[in-house]
Amino acid sequence: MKTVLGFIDEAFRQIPETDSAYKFKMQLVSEVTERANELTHRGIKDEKVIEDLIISEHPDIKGEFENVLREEKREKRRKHFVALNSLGTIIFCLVVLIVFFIHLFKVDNGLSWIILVAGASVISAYYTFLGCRRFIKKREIIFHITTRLQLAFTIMLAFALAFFIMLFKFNIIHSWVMFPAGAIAVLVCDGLFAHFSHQRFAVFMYLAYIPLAAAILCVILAVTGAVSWQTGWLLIPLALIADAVIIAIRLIIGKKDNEEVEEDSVWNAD
Amino acid sequence: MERRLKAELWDKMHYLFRDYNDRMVHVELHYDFEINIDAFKTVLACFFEKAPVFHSSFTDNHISPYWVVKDYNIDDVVEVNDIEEEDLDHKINAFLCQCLPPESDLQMKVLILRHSGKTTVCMIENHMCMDGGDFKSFLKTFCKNYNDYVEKGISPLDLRTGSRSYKSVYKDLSKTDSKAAQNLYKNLSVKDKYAHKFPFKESSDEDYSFIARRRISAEKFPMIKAAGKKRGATINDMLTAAYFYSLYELAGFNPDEPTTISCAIDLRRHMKDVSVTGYTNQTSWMQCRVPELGRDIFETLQYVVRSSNMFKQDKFMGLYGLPLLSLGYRIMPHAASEEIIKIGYSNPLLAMSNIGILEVDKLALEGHEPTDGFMSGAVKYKPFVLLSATSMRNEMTLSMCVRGSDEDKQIVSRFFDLMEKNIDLLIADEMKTD
Repeated sequence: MKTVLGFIDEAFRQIPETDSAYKFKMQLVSEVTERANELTHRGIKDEKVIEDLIISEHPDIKGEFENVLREEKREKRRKHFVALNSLGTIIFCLVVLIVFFIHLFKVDNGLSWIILVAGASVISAYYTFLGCRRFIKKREIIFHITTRLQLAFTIMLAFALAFFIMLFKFNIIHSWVMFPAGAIAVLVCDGLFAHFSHQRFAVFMYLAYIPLAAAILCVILAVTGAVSWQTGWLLIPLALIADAVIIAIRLIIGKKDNEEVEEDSVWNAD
Repeated sequence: MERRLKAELWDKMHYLFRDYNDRMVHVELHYDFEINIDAFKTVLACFFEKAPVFHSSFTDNHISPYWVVKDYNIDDVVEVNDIEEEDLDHKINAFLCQCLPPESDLQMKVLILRHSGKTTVCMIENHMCMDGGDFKSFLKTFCKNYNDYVEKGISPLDLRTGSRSYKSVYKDLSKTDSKAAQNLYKNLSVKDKYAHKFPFKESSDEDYSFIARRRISAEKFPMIKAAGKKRGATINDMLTAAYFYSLYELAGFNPDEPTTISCAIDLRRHMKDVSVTGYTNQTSWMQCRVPELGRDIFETLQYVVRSSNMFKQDKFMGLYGLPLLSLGYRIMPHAASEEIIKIGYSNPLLAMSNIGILEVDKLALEGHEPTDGFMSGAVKYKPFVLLSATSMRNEMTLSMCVRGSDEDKQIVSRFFDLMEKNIDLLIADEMKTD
């Protein structure tokens, strides 16, 4: 083991002497000793081979140390983030409760509960966002589906809150349109999500979502009287035209890619 | 804490093939001296340390399978026996016909037989870890490391240890080609209307695994090459034509009906540099189809050449369907994706794998070139068959690993007789010239 220990000493000459460096060195020495025992147990009798093998497994000790430091920092940051989030959530809940009680005792118009619903929605949306951020790092499609469902849930929650406020605070007769409007927002956000997370089949989502959103929009506009049913339906053929345009653009891009492939093959030919 | 390795796409695919074959790749090498057993074990142990998949157990947890690295002792991997000359064949066959379950702690086993001052090395490995192409490369690297260790005392650590991902196949393609190749969702699995099968007997409880071999003498190899050259055919085309012709004769297929034989192709042809990739599978199938038997074997050869040239003209040869497989495994839990893939994938009933030349100079140990040897694919379960071909010092070995009965053994032997006869027909002109 002399050669390996000498190799470690040599590598540590480039690393400043700190408590972390000393701790890492001790850990490394213990690790290589354990590894040498493991290799002997596995049947390698030649000590030189064992030493060379161990050295080959640690080609960049300085890099390993930097990784350990980076990992420690990341862990520290994560702990701070969790603590900050917990504290922030507690403070936010307290503020919501205080505002709720002030409103309840000072105004008392029977709508104080909206403050609680709003507070709960904000917390839910925030944690959903954190969840999304975490899942999106994992590039598996299954996690994207979870993330998209979370996104849809958050959007619907926000629109439901808007519905309550519009109905109970402002007594707007067509407040219910917030639900179909929320559905449109879900489709738009899901399409954008598919686009920005580079989903392979994003184009099929656009093709499905555009007519669907147009149909819902048509109903909203016609029911609220913004446009008549006679003109409102035109949104649907317009959406289908938009689909046709998207398909045409994709075909043109695909053809261009194929031409580039052909050109490449000419260049790469023997 | 247990160490886990990712199960790559081809690991999962070969695991799925458990219904069709025993997933073992076999090698047999003969040397005319007694090799250094300690050195052999040391080199192999170092290789196992560099490529831990060889001492890992495959865990199928139905959601996402993985390998778990296991502890081992090299004496469990390498078995050494001193035997009498007459026991040699029996020992070799018994060893080569065994199957290592993917759940076992070791995915490779070696038998070293010492007999009358000579050594025979037999190796089997799980196809899930690497294919024949990489196994050949593994053997050559092994011999180089063994020689450097024994002769110069250099530690045997020179083994490729890169990524095992199927995506390595795209790494040397141009940006546009790579993008295009990763969008080849077309499934090229052939569901042949006629579904011609090798004429085995029905499966029975007495079936056992055997490796049938036939040697084609070294004098014929250059003749096959020369005869092929005259007709614009490769050695692979010549063998495939003989395979087709022999099958029609053996099984009595209607000569007017088409038949398809799937030929294994090495996807490394798309890679300029494999030194940065790990040992893995990079093999696909090329469907070679003849529309009819043809009036004679030369017409069959023409059909084969036409079919294989059509495939070779495609710059994305063998890359079709990989993105679809990958998508299937990514979007669904493993258990579900296996069932779905089984619906879309049809395992070839008739297949051929030309493993190629076993270079004696690169397989030499301590200056002794192997005197004989061969390599073959997995033992196929009926009705599937795979004809493997390797050559050493121009002597070609045709082999077929089958799980069947004594009657099936005779059928395979008859098939090899026909193969020899048809190869002779193909090279008849060359033989006359000689």
